[in-house]
Amino acid sequence: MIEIRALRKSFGNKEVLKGISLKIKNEIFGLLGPNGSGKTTLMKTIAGILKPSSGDVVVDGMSVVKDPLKVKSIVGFVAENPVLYESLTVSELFNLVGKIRRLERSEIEEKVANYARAFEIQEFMDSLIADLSFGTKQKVAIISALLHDPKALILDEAMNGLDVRSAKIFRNLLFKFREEGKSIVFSTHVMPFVEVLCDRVAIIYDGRIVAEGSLKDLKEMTELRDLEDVFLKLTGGVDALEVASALL
Amino acid sequence: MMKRNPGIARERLLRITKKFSVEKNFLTIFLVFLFLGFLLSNYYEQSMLAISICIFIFVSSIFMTATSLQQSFAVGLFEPMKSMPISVGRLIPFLLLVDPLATIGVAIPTILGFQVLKAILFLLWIVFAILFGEFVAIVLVALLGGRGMLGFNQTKNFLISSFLLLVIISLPQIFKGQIRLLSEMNFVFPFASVTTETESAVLLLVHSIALFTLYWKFSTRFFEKIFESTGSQGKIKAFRFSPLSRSFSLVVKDLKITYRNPAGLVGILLPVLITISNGIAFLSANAIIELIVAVSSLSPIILGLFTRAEGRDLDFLLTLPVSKKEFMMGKILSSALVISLPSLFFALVASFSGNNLFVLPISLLFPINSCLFAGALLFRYPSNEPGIPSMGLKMGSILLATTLFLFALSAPSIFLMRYDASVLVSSVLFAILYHKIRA
Repeated sequence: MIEIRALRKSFGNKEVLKGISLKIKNEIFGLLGPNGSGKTTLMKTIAGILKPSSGDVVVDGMSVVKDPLKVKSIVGFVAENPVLYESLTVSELFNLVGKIRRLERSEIEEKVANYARAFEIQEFMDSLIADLSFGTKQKVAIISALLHDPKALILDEAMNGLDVRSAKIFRNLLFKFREEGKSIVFSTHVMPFVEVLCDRVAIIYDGRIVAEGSLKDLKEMTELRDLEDVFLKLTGGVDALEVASALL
Repeated sequence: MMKRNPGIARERLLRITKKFSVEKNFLTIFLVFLFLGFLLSNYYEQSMLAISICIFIFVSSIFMTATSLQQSFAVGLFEPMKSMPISVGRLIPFLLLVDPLATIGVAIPTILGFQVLKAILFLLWIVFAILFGEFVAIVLVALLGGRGMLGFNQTKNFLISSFLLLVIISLPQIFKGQIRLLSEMNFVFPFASVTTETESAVLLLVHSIALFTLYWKFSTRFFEKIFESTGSQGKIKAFRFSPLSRSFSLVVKDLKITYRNPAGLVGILLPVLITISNGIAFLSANAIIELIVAVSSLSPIILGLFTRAEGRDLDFLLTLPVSKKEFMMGKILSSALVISLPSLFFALVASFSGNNLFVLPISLLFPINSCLFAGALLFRYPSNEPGIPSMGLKMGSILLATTLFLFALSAPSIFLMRYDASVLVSSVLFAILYHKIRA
């Protein structure tokens, strides 16, 4: 379980997260929000990459403030734009991840073989990461995050750039992880993904959670049938839509 | 960088970052080279110096352009340009001229000693040397790969980088001997004519037309080649988990990412090449301890290089359970390995030549201790997360402190000829520093 308690995060004078509280159980939890709303900052704070200015995040009983290394050891994080060691090959990167996460040889070799086959990256294993396409890099980033069988997965628009086959495999993996009792936080701008994947959703706007609940709850609350319209109503995007329509 | 390094996200760093300017950077490089120019003009005859300066600026331009290009591509600086309706092949060479143009400072003292016409011709030759060097660098990067590729091309990168560095370090020898020979090969080696007015003007015109034509015709094609991604698919091989320990996997990672980066590679080769080019002289003078101290004093620079080499890739490391201490120890071990190898090599030569055998442990202890000492100073920031510490002025004081530290370590050997005392002191200090860093 992931518990976010009155989380605030500032960069200098700019407050990006303004007191967020959430509880995420063993489910696929969607995080939606417009650009600049604080999604990525929230995801990175949950993953232990950023330290909260105040408040806390507790992942499986471990505090991000007090034990960030322990949190990182049980969390898998995939960034929106895959940042990997560009001068390493794919094999070398998996080796590095395996060593740092203290994985057993038999365990990692089997997992790499299976994931590489599933995501069709076997022929890229000796290629420099700098030479890979965006989508292939994203696959490498996803595999790196899954090797240690994390208890929580934090996915910041992780499906960007994946081909249809890989996206389908990844979705099935997420369902399997949920059945195994893992917590998955998933952010995306693609509403059909949310409709298919997520058990519950939170909408973040200007650093605050403006709505939280199942898709059915949100639609009933806003009296709208389409998730896209729900999102636009709650994030002040309706006016912008009217302005854009007037321009056309 | 502020967001990626929360441990050093101080207001002061933000102010420093905002204050950075291209003009100040240009002025700094110009003044450094101006100082070098004054130093050289006191020691060498003017006409020989003019030719040597042209060669020096030519080589510096190749080196600066190649490293700027490589670093720019590594951070994706030119990516937004690809989709714009501009001729990238014509624009980027102008942007890359900033640093090489600042090297004109080295020629100012010599220019001031010439008559007007000669001075103008000399200045034009310098501009030609800069542009020619830039063109050669662009060709090299286009042919050999901008980001570093496996196998044969890495070897070529290594060789090119080593050669360029050897040329720059060996310039005093070039000043003395080879220039007279080259002055008889004017057309092939145009810089040799810089002091003969008529010949110089004609050759400058001919070579400038040739260079301009090559630039106009081929620069766009070279940049297209640099921009296109290289082939990446290979045979399917089974993944094998490395037998290395966790600590050494971080060291191997550092060595690989720095080796595959031409700018980083040159920086790492520096202690190796300086040691090799001066090693015989030190050994002949029975000054092996002084040689070890000289190489070991480079530890803050090498440590800084390895740390900066993380670049934006640090974002990935921050997702893994790596503590600041582990990160720091990885950098320290990588630096110590690079500095210890040439030090140990010459210590072995010295010990086989009849020198005290205590030289061998000293050749390892001094570099390791200096890296531990410099690391403890460099990584003093409040956060417990891996990060890239701010350098700049801080690096200067770390260099000074490390040099004094090494001087203290080597004092028993140099002044009292008690190598055993140096080994004892170094071993105790190693234990203290290692314990302090790991605690």
